[in-house]
Amino acid sequence: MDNKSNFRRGSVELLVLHLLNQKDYYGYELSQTIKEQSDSVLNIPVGSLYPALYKLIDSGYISDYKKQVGRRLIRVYYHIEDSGIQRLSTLIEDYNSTVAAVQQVLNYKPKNGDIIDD
Amino acid sequence: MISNEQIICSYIKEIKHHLPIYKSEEKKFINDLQNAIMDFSNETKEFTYNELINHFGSPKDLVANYLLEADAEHLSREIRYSHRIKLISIFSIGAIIVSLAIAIMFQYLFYYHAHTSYISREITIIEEDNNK
Repeated sequence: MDNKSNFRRGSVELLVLHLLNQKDYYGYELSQTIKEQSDSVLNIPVGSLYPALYKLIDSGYISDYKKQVGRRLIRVYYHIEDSGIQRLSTLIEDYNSTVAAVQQVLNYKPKNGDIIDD
Repeated sequence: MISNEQIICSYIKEIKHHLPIYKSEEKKFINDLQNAIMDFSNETKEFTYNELINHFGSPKDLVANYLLEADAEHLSREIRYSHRIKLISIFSIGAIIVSLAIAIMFQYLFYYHAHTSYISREITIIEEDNNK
């Protein structure tokens, strides 16, 4: 995992809950949708995605159910619960305030008087 | 030519090899991962081992990602448990070796004692008195 991925790791919960709020997804579909919708900028490896999904299930934000597809494949679909929808709105608020705060810091330029010359 | 199933099998085997613990959570993860690879296989039809690595990451990276995101309490509990099992195994093997060494030593001492000892005997000559 590179440094960029570390920076983006915190957004997995938000992205997963947002997508599940639209419809039920299975694991691989979630990972592919995030990759496609972000023009491959966000590529969440399945090694990170599944543990994140297990944590969301343990917290009661999402649930899972199995669906037989074809003869051999069983897909596990994930479904958002009411508590997950509440969690999503908290995460969106948190995300927006964080982005605004980070942007504010990035826009900050010290006035001439604040620069200390050696 | 290697079939997709053989490629998936060796990829999963490699991942299992890198997992420090293999309990129910890890079994579930491997199962979900296998399903994801099956979905990829249905989309791609034919692929090589390197293409699988390009898509899902190397087994080592995949396990590293899993450990990074997995429940810390579960990992710590299972690693502690396996460490305890390892210690108990080492102690048991050590105890067996020491017991065997003591048993062999006693056997040797008995053998040595038997080998160096001799049967003491006493000869009593009873003479018959012919004059009577």
